[in-house]
Amino acid sequence: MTLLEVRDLRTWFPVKKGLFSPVKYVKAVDGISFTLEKGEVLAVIGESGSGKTTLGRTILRLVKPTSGKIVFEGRDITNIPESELRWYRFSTAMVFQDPFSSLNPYHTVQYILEEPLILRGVPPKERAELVVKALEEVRLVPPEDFLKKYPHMLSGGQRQRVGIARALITRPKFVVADEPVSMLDVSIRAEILSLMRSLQSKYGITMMYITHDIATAKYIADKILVMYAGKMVEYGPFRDVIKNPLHPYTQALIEALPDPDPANRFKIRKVPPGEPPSLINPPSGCRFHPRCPYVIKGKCEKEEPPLKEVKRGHYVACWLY
Amino acid sequence: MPPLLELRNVKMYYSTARGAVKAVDGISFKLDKGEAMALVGESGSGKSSLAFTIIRLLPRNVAETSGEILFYDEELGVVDLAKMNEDEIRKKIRWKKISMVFQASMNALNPILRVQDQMIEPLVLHLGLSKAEAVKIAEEALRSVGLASDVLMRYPFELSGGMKQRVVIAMAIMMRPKLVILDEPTSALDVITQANIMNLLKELKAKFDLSYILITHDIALASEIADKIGVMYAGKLVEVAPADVFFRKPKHPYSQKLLAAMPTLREEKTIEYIPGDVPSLINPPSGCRFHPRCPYVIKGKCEKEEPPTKQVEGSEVACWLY
Repeated sequence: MTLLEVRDLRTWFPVKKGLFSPVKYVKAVDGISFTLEKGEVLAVIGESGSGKTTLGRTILRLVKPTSGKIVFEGRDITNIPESELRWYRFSTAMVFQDPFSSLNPYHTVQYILEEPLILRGVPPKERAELVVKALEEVRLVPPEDFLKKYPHMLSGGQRQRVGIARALITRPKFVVADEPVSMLDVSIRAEILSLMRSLQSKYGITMMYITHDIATAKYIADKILVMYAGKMVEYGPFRDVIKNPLHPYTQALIEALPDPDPANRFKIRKVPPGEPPSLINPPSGCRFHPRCPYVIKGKCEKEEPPLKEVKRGHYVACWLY
Repeated sequence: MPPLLELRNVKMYYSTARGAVKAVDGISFKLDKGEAMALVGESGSGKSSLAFTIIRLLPRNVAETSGEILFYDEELGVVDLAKMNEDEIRKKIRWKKISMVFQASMNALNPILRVQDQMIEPLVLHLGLSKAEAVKIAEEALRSVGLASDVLMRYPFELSGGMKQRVVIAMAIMMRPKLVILDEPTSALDVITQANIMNLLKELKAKFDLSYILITHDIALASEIADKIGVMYAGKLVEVAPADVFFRKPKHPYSQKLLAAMPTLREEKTIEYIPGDVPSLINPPSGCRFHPRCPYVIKGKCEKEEPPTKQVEGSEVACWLY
């Protein structure tokens, strides 16, 4: 069953330079399409400024889309007014990147977890039970030790567990997790992700995992969507894309990532120089062409490559294919 | 041949309202000329504190420092950095012999000063060079990190994250130091930029015969550059081993857990977790500090006595199992 369908989604932010100069746009999300079945996890991979966070926020309708379509459970929610969005807000949740700033420092763990339940009108007794259960699920045990604590009394990993518990306590159908482990030590990242994965599959939650680190996506994702400068460059089943990355940018992302191996120190990694372009004036044609090692002169800088299905379910936007 | 740097039982405690924080608690190791050592460990293990202790940038609330930090140099002979005063360190050591790339230091560039002014400031102020000389040195340093000299006239906001990090690295190497301390040099950068910076650090190491101390919580990143790995836990160095030995056969249970918990893309392995949290450095556990989290704890031993450092198959390890 398809839970979420996103078609040619665009989110452009206007930037005004001078009084009479034309309005320019930061094209943060520029033509993204994908579908998610119920219970699937999609990893959205990209560098900073690629538009991945804006994509997540747009789908949750925290940012208004410029054009395109977002269909959730068969209902088009792209442009419906806030007053009719309550059911959608109640069906979705978000896990934020920074566990140090996304929890209110004046609230106890108990209240942080209770708040979404209060909003939904859950009676007090049931709330208390749900909070204890949620803490147990994220392995903050025994729960009594944590209920009365304030965020500053917890470690980064514990705070992020609270963030996850808060997102999942209302049993949402769809969750956007925006870099939930990037602020944590490498040694606890995999643990937090496996925890998210097990809760996600236990409750059949559909999820979008936003990250710049493909290695962590491996522990949670079924599908992968690679973004570069607001565009989707590759999309497909996670294993297929990792085993056989088609787009030169995806290949570079994988090549750039070290595995622990003492032989690494004798190698120079083959990664493209430079950094992602500005989203106000992105390069013409394929946006990756100035950094691409396989650029086809006269083609890549002129025409934008269309998204092509190369293998079943595996899409790439590149003139090489 | 003597090493470049030798630490002997180095301690540094901070004083806080709740008691002394034993951030660096009896660390000893040697680093050779041209050698790169990675100090790995979770947040709060004292890695950064150790770096600040070596380069003598001690916090104001320091309660106690002891031990010897011997630096072997052709020009200065053997000097104990722990016994030098701030004036001597500033004139003879910092920038010239030992420099540091601080964590997130690319964001510490002054936004209202041109790159040139920030780069030449230590040269003019601390080392007494003329402006013309200093600019020449800065230009050359920029070239060796792959930046054009027109970057000198730019403001930090005109540069990308990777370029700013290159400027900071250029500053660290411009006086041709022997040792550069890198504190999480790529933690705020994207993966491809990170790989480019690591490539640059490898090239600079070979070109100038630099020694590095790389501080990171990412063991995979450490393997990009380290000839030797030091694992820190709660203010102690629990294992020091050559990279080839360490990645093949880590000895200390904490090192083993740290490697097993590492997410990897290519390797198929089941991830293991380290139960519990890093202990408080005010009241660290008795005996071996890892004993409350250790799967191989020996009752009646590990919680009572502190394990001495032993040589085991090419590694130095502090654990009662050996």
